[in-house]
Amino acid sequence: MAGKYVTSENNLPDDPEGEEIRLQVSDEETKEIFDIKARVDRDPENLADPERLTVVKGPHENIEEEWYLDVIETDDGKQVDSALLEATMEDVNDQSTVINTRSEEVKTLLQYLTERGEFESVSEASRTIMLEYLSDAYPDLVSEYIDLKVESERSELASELREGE
Amino acid sequence: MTVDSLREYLGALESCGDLHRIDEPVSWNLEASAVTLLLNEADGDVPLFEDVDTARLVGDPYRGSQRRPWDRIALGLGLPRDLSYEEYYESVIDRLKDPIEPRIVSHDDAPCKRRIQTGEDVDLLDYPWPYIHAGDGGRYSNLHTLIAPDPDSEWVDWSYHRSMIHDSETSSVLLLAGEQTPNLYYYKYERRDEPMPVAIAVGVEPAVQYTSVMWIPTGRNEAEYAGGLKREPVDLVPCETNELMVPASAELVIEGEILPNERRDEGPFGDYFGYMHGPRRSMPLFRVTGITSREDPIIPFCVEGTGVGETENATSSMEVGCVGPDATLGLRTAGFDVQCIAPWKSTPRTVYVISTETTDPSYLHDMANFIFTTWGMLHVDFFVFVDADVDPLDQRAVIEALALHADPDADFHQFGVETMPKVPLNIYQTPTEKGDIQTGTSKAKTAKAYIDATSAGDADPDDRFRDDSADIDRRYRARRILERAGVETGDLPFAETEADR
Repeated sequence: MAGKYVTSENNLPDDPEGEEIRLQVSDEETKEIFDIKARVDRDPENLADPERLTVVKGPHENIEEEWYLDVIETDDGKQVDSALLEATMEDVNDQSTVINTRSEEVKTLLQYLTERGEFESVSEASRTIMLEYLSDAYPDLVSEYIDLKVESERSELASELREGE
Repeated sequence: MTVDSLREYLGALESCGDLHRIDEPVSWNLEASAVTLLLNEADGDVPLFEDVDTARLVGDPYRGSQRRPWDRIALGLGLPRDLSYEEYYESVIDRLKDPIEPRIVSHDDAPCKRRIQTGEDVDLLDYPWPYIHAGDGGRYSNLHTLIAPDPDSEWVDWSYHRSMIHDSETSSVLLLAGEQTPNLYYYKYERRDEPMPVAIAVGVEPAVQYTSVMWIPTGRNEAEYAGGLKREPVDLVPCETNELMVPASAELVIEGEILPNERRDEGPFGDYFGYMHGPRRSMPLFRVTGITSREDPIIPFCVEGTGVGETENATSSMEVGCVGPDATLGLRTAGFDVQCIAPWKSTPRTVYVISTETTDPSYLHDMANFIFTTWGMLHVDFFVFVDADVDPLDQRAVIEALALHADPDADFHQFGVETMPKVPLNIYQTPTEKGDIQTGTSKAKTAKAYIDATSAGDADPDDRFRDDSADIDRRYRARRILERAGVETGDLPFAETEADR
């Protein structure tokens, strides 16, 4: 009997049990295919809120195994637009990096945290808190940004090396 | 009579008593395909599912009978249904030789523009794409016309590569390099890192569907061949979100682009070989930019895999009724003296039989070499050559030719094991033998083979008719048995011999 979600053994990493993984699954009812962040296990006792996951395997994927998963996050279909992100990086590269925002409440709270010694300045507080929030709320976006940044720096370095030859 | 739309075709089927309307709600999830499968097996009517969520489904609308697979194809072309296969073949060949230019119609005159979704409104999951076989990787559109342009010329290819729906705006498309549209994608668009504009026209008029299945030569205008088949211009209308022209009579058109260097899972799928085929492959990603449709559209689908053995489906019947005459014309145009080429009826695509007047072994070898290196033959593993007086669609006659004339030592020929491109959907090779991940681009290799079952080179081709010591009483009884079994014995050689006595 099929579970609520179905995936292929090929989509599972080696030794996935207990790990937090990103996984392509299909919804058994709607057949929609999407990515989720989840913790998977063969034993439902090891999971907090287990839902059934049918893992298909074999050359024709006609062998079924019953697994379970805890859904941590589902892909809402809004994938990172890499082209837009790259264009934004180029735009920002030519601009001031100051962010202006007018808010008495935000400034009061950030200044309070700074005077308590948690941050050295209001700008450090705002930078740190915003990046932490973005990492939690938009992990794919942050990950894609880091990839593009590394790639961009690598290209610049290669270009400088070529010019130095 | 010309048939201008899928709806008109279904109306014609109904007039002949061949359409079964199902008013009860039916699920897209296995139920519609199961009903279609049972009707395919029983050689029954074509099922039109009137109540499947937001649209209608029709299962295997072009399926013919095993004895006369071309009958419903002929109906879609306005041809009589009682044509012999020779008459049918020559009628289609005559029409293909006389293409007719398409006609551009306005937005208002295009039935496929009654409803338009673009931008945020696009949602593939608004439509009841069927989940066809238990174990399929997803829901499919698999009976449509995929329209894609050559970036370097005016040529636009029509094909019918299946597409597996992923979510509201993406699907994966089975593109196997070696065929026309996949070659455009892999060797032109993707190498230039450009998206390939695409339209998938679903529920097109019969002549358009047939043309998509045929092996129209690269560079030729497919719409003109569809017009030739129909004997009237096919109406085309521009897409909403790209520059492509699409058949105006379509039930539904999905506009979009196949992105470079983007892959999504495709399969497993119950393939035309008659087996579930896996594992899933990585195939190009189709991103939808717009959907236009008629009101209350009808989505056709094929229960792939049911066209083997004793049963037919839309694919297997179109292989006989569309690819057969087209390939016959193609070989004749290439200068080969071919009477008829037809797929072996119980194994769609994999085995073809060719009847030919010229049976010289080197001539057959040249023809086999030509065929195996032609793009349309990626799916074909075996050919059987028979004499011109053998009906390639009569399996009994072909088996007789094999038994009488194919010397296992001299008449079985194999082309290089490591060099022939092979469609990776077969199940006789393991994924490793197919080249693992390379299967996605059709780089699998295996042998191709042909059998010379012509009478040329036999010790004495008349031996089978010489029967000096025949027991007349035994011959008489054999003939009566055959007649009771429904065989027309008047056409059999021994009957003529007996009559001559």
